Amino acid sequence: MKSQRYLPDALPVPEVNDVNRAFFTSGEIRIQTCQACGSVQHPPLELCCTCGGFAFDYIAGQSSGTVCSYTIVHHPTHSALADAVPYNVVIVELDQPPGVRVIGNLVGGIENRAEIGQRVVAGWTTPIEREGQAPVQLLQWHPI
Amino acid sequence: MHGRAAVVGLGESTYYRPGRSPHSALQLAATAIRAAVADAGLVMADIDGLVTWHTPLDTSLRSANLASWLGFGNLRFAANPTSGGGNLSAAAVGLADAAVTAGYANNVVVYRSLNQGEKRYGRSLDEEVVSDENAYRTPFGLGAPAAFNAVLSTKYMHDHGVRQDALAEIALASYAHAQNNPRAIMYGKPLTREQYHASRWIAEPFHLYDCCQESDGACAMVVTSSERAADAPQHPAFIQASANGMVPDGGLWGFNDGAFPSGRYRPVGEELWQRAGVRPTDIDVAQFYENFTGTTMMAIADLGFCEPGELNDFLADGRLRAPDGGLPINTSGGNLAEAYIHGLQLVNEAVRQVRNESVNQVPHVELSLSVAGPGTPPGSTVLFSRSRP
Repeated sequence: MKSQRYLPDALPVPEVNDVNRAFFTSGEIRIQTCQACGSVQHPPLELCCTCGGFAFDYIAGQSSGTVCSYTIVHHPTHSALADAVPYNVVIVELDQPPGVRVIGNLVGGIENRAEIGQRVVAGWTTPIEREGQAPVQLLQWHPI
Repeated sequence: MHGRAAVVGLGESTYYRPGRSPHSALQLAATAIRAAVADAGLVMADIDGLVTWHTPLDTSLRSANLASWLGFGNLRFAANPTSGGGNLSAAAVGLADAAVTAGYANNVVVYRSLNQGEKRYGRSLDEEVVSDENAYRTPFGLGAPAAFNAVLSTKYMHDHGVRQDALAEIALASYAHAQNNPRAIMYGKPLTREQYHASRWIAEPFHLYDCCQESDGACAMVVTSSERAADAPQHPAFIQASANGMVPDGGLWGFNDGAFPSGRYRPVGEELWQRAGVRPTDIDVAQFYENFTGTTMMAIADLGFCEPGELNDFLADGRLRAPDGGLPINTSGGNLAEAYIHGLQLVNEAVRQVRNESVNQVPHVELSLSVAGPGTPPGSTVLFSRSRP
């Protein structure tokens, strides 16, 4: 599911690197998994926090989850957000792999609000270009 | 019990609204440090240690430069606690305590100086791309500490049934105390419960009055050995114990730690009480870092003053108010209503309570606690006593 970015395009995007490329550019939920011990971790790092391994796969996670917390931001802290407030930010706990929490925005909720326990499904922004790196697709959650 | 070092000198500049200081960060630092050294009955040449901290968002004064510019003696110890910001004020005092106790330095200055006209807090940086942990936050509008701590607090309040009025109690205590403190930026600006609830949202569940100020100013203290403290002109505040740290996975990014939602420093409390040989109920007065009231709420529970599910009752009924509440907190007005010198001004107030010099003095203070963080781990604590342990 692709949709326009919930927040203004002028807001910064992630700097893409070797470990976050799958998560930020694939348009899928791709979670870092250690090749040595199989541990899952998010956000991705250059190091496995369980066994110390340096080599990873990026496995597909389930695109559904539950809102475990949120805030409604009313005070803009970035010039790009001046006309975007109020807006929501949600933390979603994925159904699979279990225990993984990802930060995103909830699109199409009632008056930009969110609720703990709300069931959501992942969608993505259309690709966002920044010079010198692959186009980024950011998570945008939709109510189920 | 510990107590081999003590705070013997306090100093501070005037506190200003952000960007209003007529003095630079260096001038503010010099003002506070000179006052603290004089208060300790010392001269600059007696100072041989320096502890402070900076963040990438503020003016950095290099320790070597400052020591030379202010005329310290041989600099034998210089260190910064790491990493974060307002979680470090008690850790800075703990570091000075460790240096003095180990004999690495005799008289250590701990200071913090902020001039928001030079560098500004509380905003995202204007960048095209963001890296590290910010890559997972800023693009989604989670761009500043108010929002980071808001999502933490929303979940915590949901899980433990904490009501908005519990947060209000923390803000109201700080503002009430500031009304007796001419140094406080919010002196003469009392806050009512109605004004609190009617104030605009910053990031839910934080109203305007749940959020700390940004301020210009500096404060400083001198830490020396308990033996030398016996000759000091002021009553020493003995460092009975300091503890800092976090749970093992408290440093994971993006709210993926196992202690979410909490202040992530329950073990810090356990260690503090064990080291000091006292319990939370023994504490006469406490200064809790409030970057936001939500983090203070979590600190109170993490350190064992009550269970998370008891916060609504624990924070109510004037318990947080000086002089006679059960746990008076933030008796100079705190970050919310006195000034935000990254929380170090709260440590100064903890010492004043031991010295019997607070504008909201709690009677017969024997144990005075200062708590830094949580929010950004590792958090830190320092416990002062009036009697030499």
